[in-house]
Amino acid sequence: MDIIKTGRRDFIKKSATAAFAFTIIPRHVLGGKGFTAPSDQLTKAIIGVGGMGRGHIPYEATRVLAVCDVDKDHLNLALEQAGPGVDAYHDFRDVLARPDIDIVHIATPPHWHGIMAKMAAEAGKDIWCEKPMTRTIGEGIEVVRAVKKYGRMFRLNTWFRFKDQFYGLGTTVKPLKKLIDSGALGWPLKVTISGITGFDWKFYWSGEHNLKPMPVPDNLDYDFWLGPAPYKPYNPERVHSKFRGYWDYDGGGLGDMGQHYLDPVQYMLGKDNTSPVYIEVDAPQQHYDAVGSWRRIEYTYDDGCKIVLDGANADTDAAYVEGPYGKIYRGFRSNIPDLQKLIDSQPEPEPQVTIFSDSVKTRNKFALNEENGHRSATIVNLGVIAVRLGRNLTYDPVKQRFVDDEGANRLIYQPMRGPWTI
Amino acid sequence: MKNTLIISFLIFTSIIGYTQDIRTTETKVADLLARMPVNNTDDLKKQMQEMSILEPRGRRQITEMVVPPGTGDDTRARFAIESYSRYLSEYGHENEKYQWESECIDAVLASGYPMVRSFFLSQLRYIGSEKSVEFASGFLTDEDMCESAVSVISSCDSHEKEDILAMSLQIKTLPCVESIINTLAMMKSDKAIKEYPYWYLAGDKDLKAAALNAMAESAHANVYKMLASAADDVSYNWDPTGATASLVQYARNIGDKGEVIAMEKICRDVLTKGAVQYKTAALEALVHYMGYEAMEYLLTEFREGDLEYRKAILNLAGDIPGRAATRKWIVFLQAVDNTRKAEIIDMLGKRGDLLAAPIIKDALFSASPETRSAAALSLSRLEGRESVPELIDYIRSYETADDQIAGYQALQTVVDTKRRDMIADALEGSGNHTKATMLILISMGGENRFFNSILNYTSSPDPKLRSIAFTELKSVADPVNMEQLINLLTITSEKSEVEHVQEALVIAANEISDEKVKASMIIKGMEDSEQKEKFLPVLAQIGGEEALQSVNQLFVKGNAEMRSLAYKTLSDWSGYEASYVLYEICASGNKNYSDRAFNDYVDKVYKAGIDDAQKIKLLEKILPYALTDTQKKMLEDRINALKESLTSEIKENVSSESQKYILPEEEKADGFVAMFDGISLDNWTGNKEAYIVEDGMIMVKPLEGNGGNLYTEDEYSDFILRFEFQLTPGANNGLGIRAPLTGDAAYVGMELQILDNTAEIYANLQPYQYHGSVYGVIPAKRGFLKPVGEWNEQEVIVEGSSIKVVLNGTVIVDGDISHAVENGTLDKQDHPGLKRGSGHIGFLGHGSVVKFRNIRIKEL
Repeated sequence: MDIIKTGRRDFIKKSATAAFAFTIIPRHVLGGKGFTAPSDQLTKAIIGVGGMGRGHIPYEATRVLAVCDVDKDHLNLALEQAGPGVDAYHDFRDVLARPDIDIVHIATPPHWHGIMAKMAAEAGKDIWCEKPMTRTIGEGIEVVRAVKKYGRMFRLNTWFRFKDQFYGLGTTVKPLKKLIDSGALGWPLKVTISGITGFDWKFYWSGEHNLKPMPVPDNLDYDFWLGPAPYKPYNPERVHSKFRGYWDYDGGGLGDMGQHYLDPVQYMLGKDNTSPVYIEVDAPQQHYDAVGSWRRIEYTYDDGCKIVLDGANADTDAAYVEGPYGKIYRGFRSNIPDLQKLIDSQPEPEPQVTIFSDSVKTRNKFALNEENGHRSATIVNLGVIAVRLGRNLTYDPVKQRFVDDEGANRLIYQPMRGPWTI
Repeated sequence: MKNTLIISFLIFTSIIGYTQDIRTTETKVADLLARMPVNNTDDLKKQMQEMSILEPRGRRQITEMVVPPGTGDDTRARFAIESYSRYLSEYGHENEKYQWESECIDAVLASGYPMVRSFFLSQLRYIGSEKSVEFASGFLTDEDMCESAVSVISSCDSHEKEDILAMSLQIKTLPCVESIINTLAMMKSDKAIKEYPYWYLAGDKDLKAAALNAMAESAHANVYKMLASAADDVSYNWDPTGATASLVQYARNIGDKGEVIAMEKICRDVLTKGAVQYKTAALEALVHYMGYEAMEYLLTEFREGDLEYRKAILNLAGDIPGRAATRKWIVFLQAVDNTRKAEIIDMLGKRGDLLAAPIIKDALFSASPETRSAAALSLSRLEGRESVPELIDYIRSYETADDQIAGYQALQTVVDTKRRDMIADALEGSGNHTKATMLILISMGGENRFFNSILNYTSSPDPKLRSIAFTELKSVADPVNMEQLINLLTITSEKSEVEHVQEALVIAANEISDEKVKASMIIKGMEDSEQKEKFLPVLAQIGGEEALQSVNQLFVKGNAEMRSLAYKTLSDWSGYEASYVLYEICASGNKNYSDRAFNDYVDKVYKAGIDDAQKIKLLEKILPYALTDTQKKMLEDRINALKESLTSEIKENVSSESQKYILPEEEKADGFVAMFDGISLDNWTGNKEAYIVEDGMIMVKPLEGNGGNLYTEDEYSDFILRFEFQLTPGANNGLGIRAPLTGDAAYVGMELQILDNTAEIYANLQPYQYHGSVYGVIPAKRGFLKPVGEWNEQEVIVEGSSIKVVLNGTVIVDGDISHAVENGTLDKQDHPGLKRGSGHIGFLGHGSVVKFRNIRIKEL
């Protein structure tokens, strides 16, 4: 019993819940892995089985029936890992055609997420989608529509709003959510996401300039890999594990980590139904093809709440959350006295559905779904557009259009190469 | 030379800054391009203003620099062009934008290369007007350019574009026909409805899908037959052409046009025949167009639907807001079964219409447990903190587990300090299950003022309630309660209950910062008590000198039984300070305990949170008391292990100065220099987030992806490189030589493999992929790596075209690349890097953890 090092109240929470569970809750309510009969097990297919997609094979207690990729090498690796009874596909529409698949996991590069999610919804599948949710705001709008229209369940593959230690915070998001809801920090709040507050913007996901055309390897169907993206000659830098560095497929480190970092902030600030109205950017000039780095992106909501992405770690005293009455620093340090007691005395946040197979079975919306996921992907995409254009932007969160900026609005929906459309 | 020219011009212009810029256009272009890419948005704006005053002739010099990918470096020109388009795409540059549009169009026409042409066409996506649409339409029949052309047309506003695209569909040899149809569909155009059937019938599944979708978006009466029969052909199920989805979308679109009867008819068809997702979509269309009038459809479908369908319907219920609809649901729910009732109540809670509050409150006391639990959560959502009195009433009224859980879940989201009092006040007179739930709820805030309420129930005759009370003591206990807890401890006998009180005591005591005071109350309690054994574990947890002495006293003075208990406490002691008491017991030669004390002492010291040197000292102290050879050996092993780690620590870890790599004298004399000083990566460039300095080594710890590369800032051509490396199982890295800073060094430079080729995953590698090989070019001998985790020494000698690699004293590569340059490589890939005479040396990340040290080089 080492209770001295763990926070006192943390320890208490655990034991209180445990006691409750064992004394009152009947065993069947607790459920758990051991309680799923194989016939009740949900089935899934994974589209895009590069490193990330292969990681989805053991997710939850669902059974893989199919894997799909336009790279034969990926498929072979996935088949090896997934074991017997799994079919391999080249064209994801052949996967959607299978009536025995409940859930489709989308782990392709982001330029495919929107199209595939919409088509999967149309085919009556539930969807587990990698982050960032979509590469454009327009694709996000279409996914939200399709999921609702076809009555599907959707989860985005980030989770910090409901579990796990949240990077620099050093604890889960929940106590901070309770603190913010208590009003003890005041309003509006400013959240700073930087190396100082415990986050890493991963600027090594920048692309290379002046890529030379190279022969396409035999294992890869490059044209299908590009799909809706404009044709550009093959170079290994564009594809597997490098695609993040190019506007056509993703948005660099911001695309990669942005939704991980920003979604919990959106949740804490209670902004799941809206978007920032101003986006201010400080970044070097950007290449036409390759994503580069940036120093600062500042988002402001209409009530004055701010999210600052400090890529240069310029604010060396930055608090993670700052309000008129108090600050929370990296590691949950604070200038508020008796912080823990204050948090403990607050009501618990709304319960969330945090196991996707529960969501699929009970048809209750998952904690991080197409709607709030689209809003946090929008924060990412607003930043990507501001960096790409090299200018500040004004956004209308209701119309989901930029104000007085035709060039920026042309990046909300971006043209797709046929036959793809959304 | 050129630079000085430019600088002198800059000085010149700054002196006469107010006069006109008299530089030649060529100089201005050169100046501008020399700045690309600029570092910030203000500067970018300035440069773009410069670009704007360059005049078409100057900008043409830039556009003419663009070449097809792979045929030259036009990076700066592309930076300037793309940024200019982005800059002009902002509101307020209308004249410049139209001018630049023409220039981009000219640039398209001026180039014969599709990749150059599509680059300029893509500029029009930012800034194009009607003129661009007209221009791009000329490329619709061009196989290479049509996709770029359609993307321009779809991005730009134009009154003509609908007609242009529709007309193009008459050309039966049209490439990119799907893109054109998709664009018309996005515009919801009905101009091409005569053309769609042809493409639908002639096309593959992609084209069919595009045509059906465009027909649906056209909302034209003439397409209905084809859409309906396509959906019918697939029995209103899913198919790759999306026939059913298109039919539903068509219904939605004609609904928007006001053709309500036709829309309803289609939706009714889908509701009777369709798969569940299309039925949902049909309802969504009905709701979207008919609003409240669609309520009957929702209710009817809900009554008969399965869970998936019902939940989707409840989700659509939110699209019909207003009290009238709420009232409909309220009336409806009285006539359905309990499962459905519960689902509707859940929806009403989320809906947020307070009109539903009375019915939900009624449901809270319904005969169906399912309904009640749904009502509890629903009410807390709907009324927030106001719902607490009803919810208290609810858990007091139903003692079943499901009700208690539902009540608990609902209350925990709304109970605050004030409302915790309401719960505490309601404890009296509640059933035991309810009391247990309430105890958990009041204690979860960690508020000490509820200590007595909880303490009160530790004497309850109900075992479950008592157990919860004992468990929750620690949530609210503070130092002021220590006396009460000590009393409780004395009168408690059940094992788990005793443990809970002990935990609460530890937590309360640990709130006291003064060491002496902290232990004193427990010690006093113990002294006054007959049941000292209950206090001992508490002292062991609190620790500290006072507590230790009192336990030691018990050991020294107590009877046999007490000695045994006291000894156990010492061996369980949380802090390492107990070790010296254990030492004394061992040294005293106590026949019952010295043997155990020896082992416990060694164990405690070895695991203590103190530094290794101190541990060694303490362990050596007890060496004379080792009674058996086994004990002696165990102790010596531990001392040796510590010493070993200490020497390596001293060697590598004590201070940054000592981590500094010092080149051996003889190598220095021989002309070697250190490439890495053991402390900083100052002479290196690349991914310094994944490559870090640790304990005098360069360590690659890929955070994500392959970890990237780390290169020397300097370039080298012929050299002897010596370094040491340590692999992790299956590790893969590479040594780049004569490499440029970008691109895949294995091809654009050379890569000498660094690889744990003993790992099973590499069993089928080619010799030209083994550790040491010049990747893809010269094979290496396998079998000379040290076991994974040990340091390997490697020497690489590169001179002209000959490459030699010595691994741990064995030559594993001795080859010449000129052969490969002339006759092709083993891996049949293009290796342009073989022709490079010099370049950077670097470590090439492939996603594994690898360490490097003692890196030194001699240039030849």
